[in-house]
Amino acid sequence: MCVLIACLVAIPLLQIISSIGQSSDGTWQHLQETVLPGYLWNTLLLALGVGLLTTILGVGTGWLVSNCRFPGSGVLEWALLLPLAIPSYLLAYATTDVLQFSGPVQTFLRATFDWSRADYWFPNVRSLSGAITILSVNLYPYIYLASRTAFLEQSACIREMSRTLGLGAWKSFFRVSLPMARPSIFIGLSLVIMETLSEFGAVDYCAVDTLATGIYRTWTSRGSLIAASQLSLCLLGAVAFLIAFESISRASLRFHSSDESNRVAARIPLSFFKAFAASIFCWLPILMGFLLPTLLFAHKTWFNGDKRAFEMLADLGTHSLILATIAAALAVGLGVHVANARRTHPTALVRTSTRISSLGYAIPGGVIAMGVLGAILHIENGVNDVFESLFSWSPGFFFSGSILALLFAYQTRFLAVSLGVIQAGLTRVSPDLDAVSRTLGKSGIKILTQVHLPILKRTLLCAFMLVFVDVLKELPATLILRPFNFETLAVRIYQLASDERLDEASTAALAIIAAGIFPVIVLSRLMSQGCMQQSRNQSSPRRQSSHD
Amino acid sequence: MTEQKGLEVSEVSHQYGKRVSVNSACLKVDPGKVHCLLGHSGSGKTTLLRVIAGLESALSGEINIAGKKVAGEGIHQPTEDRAIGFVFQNYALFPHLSVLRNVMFGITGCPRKEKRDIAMNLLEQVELGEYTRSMPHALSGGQQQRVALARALARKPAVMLLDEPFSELDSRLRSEVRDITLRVLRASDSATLMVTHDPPEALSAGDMVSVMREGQIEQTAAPSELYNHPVNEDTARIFGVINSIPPSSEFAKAISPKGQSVNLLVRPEQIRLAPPTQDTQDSGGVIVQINYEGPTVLIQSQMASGQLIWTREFTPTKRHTGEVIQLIMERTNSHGDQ
Repeated sequence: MCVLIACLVAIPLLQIISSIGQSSDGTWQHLQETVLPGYLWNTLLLALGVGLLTTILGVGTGWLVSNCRFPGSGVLEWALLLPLAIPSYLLAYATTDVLQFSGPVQTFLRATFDWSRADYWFPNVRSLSGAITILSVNLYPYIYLASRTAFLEQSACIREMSRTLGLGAWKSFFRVSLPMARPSIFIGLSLVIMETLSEFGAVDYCAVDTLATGIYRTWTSRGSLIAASQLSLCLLGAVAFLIAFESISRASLRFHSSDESNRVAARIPLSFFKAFAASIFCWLPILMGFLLPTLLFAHKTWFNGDKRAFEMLADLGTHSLILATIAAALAVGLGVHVANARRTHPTALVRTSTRISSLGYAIPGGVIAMGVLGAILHIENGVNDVFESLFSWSPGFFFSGSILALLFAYQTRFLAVSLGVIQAGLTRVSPDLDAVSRTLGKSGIKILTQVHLPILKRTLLCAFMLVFVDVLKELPATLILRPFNFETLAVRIYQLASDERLDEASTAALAIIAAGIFPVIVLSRLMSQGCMQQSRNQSSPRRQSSHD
Repeated sequence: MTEQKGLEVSEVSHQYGKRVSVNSACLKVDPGKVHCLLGHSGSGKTTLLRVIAGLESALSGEINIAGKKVAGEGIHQPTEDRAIGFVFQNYALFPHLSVLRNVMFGITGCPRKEKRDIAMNLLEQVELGEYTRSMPHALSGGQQQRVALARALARKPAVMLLDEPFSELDSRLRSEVRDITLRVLRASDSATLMVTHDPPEALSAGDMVSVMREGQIEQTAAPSELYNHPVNEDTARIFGVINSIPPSSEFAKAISPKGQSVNLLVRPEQIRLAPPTQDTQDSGGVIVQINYEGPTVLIQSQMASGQLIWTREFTPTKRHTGEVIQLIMERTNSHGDQ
């Protein structure tokens, strides 16, 4: 079954891989000679820049809220996740709108200091550094989530021991806490890099030519599906490298999993100035990644919002929520199945299948949609031919253009998210619980349903919420594969923004943010409770490769 | 109830990769008896326990549980189908289930009320009748251990396997929990195999004790036999300090059955200290160290030949370092080792 899921998820990817060696009528050669080096260079710089900035923001905020006590740190625990609720393309629209020449910030500066255009320098949002900043304040919560969980799970004894060995709080962070949290941080970082590699909307809006934007351009402008697929292969290679990197990081979880005395450490109270600096460091990404765009869209909605607001919210909101709910439930179900197979039967085939199931995350939604469409059309044509020859009747295009095709694409893209969360959760369930269940007469599915799933219910809800928010924000695949006349909030925003009707788009934008906030807050609370619960239960992993 | 014929392990071997972890182990545990498997860390005792449980596959050999072959000659019965109960070192209680539901977890084939009654009865036996609704994290280590024991017994296993069940408890709690555990286990009529690295615990808890070293069972015997007649110096040393007197010593000598002079192994309590006399050239010495053990003291004396000898006396003692003494061998059931 695990292998079957991997095969299904891999169909769109195989469609892309099958482009190797195919002739693109010279397009690929043309790309190689002209824009490809630029695409690769920009993609590398973007990934490095976003990786570095998100690590600083994510690890810094994660450590501060889990180890230090300062005014507002309780609120920050969940508030730091809020940027997850904002689609990156919305953040790009909002940031550009606020910081561009005609935006309120520059207008205010010119009016206040009586400057003209030539009198001052202002950073250009629509640049590589602008894209790095926007994506970083949008994506750092992935690393914050991972690092905060890791910091909360670290035993107080270990850190106290390091203090007794003469390390101050600062040195203790760099020499003990950070190395111990490293595997979790790498997992968060690999998610960030995958998101960055596949990012289209924000990067395109910032006018940065990356592989993801290049793929679209090759497909839409040059009309070469084969060359676009060949470009996608570069992304697949990068993601395969990242998955290998992540699994090595996960394997090294062993080194900090043997301590069972998970007493939660007391938080360090910060002095006034340190608390002030910590507050600024933590609130700045929230301000840029959530408050600013939300307030902007709220302002635009209030004054110039969509006239069909209520009708739209009822209709599009329902579509978005239904799609996100079904897709998230499906991703969790499939993720449980694959992760459980990986735990109980870690054969080479199952391990490979698990990796294949994660490949789709870094592929831009549009590319996956193309792959899904190509594969489905192949199947439909085959079925139609058979029916035509047997019954002189064919069922037509029963799959493409249906919600099923869309759900298929979502699974290819987001199964990695639920799978990653569930696998990480499973590593925290002691293998002794499996063994003791077997000595008590349970096996296979009973251990899964009676032991693993009840223990992992918070993890499953986390996985559900993450996929839910991702699907809610997803644009390109939804745009290409949605059934005729089926609109979602994201599609509506895109259509209005494409027509330069940002004021009207703000209503749908606000709705999508509102729909995303609830799961994000639930996610944060689950994370806190999960860590506290775990430290109480002392069910930390005891991986042993050999026994006495 | 499962047919009670105990546990039989014949020539069982196991490897982790190329490393032999268990080498031709043989054991027999009768119903109602407690058999302790004693050894240092890495000696292979937990691995043997897991092989018996079916959590690891035996490379060769045969395992019979309650008269039924569960491993050997191409047979590997899954753990869940073996009539065993297992208590893990860290107890492995299900954190999401209450104490009562933990104990009920493995009971099958009867109505829910009956399951509840069985579980309640067992919890009463382990003196936890008042904790049925508690969650595992709210219990102390000793209470968790007893829940794990009740849970393992709930299926009425023919064989109970305990992996260092008291090692996470402090010494005061350990003896209390051990007494309850052994009382319940003996009453259950299961054949019990208990892994421990604590020699006094093995001697006091086991009807029989097997000593394991580097994957091999070196000796299986009743506690008194094992203490007094260990098969070699390594086994003798497991149970505490021992004096190894070389054949060249004039103080005492041992002759092997083949007539050769061999090392003489003597426990400290088999040598007595006495005031020196005129004729103490070969047995005289000076006290160089005194270690308090609580009810007893361990005294090290240096003989004229330079040989260091340990003796044991009850406290309080008036001995002091530098005191000149005479060493007297109390009895002769000491042990020769080649």
